[in-house]
Amino acid sequence: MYVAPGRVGAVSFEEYVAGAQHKLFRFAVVLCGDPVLAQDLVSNVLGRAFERWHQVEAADNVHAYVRRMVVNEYLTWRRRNVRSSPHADLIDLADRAGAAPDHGSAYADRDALLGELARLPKQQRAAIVLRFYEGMTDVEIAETLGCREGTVRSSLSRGLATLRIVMNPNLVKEA
Amino acid sequence: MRTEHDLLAAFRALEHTADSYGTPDFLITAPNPTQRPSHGGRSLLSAIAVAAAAISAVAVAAVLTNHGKIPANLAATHSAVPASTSSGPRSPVATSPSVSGGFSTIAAGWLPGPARQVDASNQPGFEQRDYDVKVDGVDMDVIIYLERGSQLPPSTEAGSSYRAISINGHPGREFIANNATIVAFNLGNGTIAYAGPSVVALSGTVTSARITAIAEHVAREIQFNQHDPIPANMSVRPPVPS
Repeated sequence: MYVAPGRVGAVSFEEYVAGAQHKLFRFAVVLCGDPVLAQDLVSNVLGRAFERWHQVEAADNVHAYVRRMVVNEYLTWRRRNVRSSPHADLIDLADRAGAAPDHGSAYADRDALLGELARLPKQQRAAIVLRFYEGMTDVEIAETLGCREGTVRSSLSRGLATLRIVMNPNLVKEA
Repeated sequence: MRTEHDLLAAFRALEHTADSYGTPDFLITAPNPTQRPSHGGRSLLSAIAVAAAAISAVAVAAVLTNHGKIPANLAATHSAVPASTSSGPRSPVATSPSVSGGFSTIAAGWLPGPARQVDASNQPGFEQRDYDVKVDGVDMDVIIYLERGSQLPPSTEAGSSYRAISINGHPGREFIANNATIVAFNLGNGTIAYAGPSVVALSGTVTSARITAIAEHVAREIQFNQHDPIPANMSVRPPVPS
């Protein structure tokens, strides 16, 4: 749970944003693959969170609540606002990020994987990010996505199959 | 085959992307509570989002995975594409003054299968509806949005494979954006409709023509600037955080 320093159980909007915005932005970029879109997502979510902060801060886990808002914003945003070329942007930015120089096939495959991630159906991608980036269980993912656990498992299975990823059974198994 | 290490490496690359982009100061862009949305519900945030969306050059509200297929019975009648440079479709990005929080199950007779309304939003001159529809065993997400006007999106503001078509007598445009085929058509009553479904899997019975028919029905049912009539047999579930 995110709690502002020096305060327990209560955090102002400003404190929350100041302390969590980088983590929230990073999560949004991983989720949608596009920093520009991620900025829009987080901006919109924080705008709404601000307007009903009394409700948000009453949540058991403020950051989890806001993160869920980001996921929902992403799922609906992608429906109603198809970007012209997020795939191209993703690869370009990944290149500029310079995580690694061109080392041949491994680098090429990472680019290919980023592209395939970008093309996954949004629910599959969200499920994969929540599981393998955020470390959520099926139950937590189902609650976040507003679907059944079976749907989560199906989304993970199909998404990983599409990405041609063979997971360690211990990682795939429900935590 | 790849492993989880490859996936985690991809996530790390995206983190690097975020870090190199720099974290925006969201406190600066957060809305002033005394500045409620006005004039179409556009707050400062919305204005920023609109600007970002405008740069994306494509404002659509539809996702379609049967890429680039001209519906068989749309009888595409190719015509000269207007060389308009005036503003094309307005982005739906920044709309949220009125968004339904719940999900509705709709049993409207004109839908080809059981449907669930998953999103609805509006602002003056703009309406959007989003349905999950099961057609012949296939789940699809059908999105329709309408805006006032008579100007179809020009090629300069649409995606690739832009072509003029005719849909049930309505002049329209079909184009591909982000691997999605979008259909826009002029309803002839001062309204432009955009439509398209996303489908998990294609089937011989799930066609763009069918989706277009859905969109036309939905478009005619949508009322601007007010709530739509509540369809019969509709149930509403508790809202979830949006």
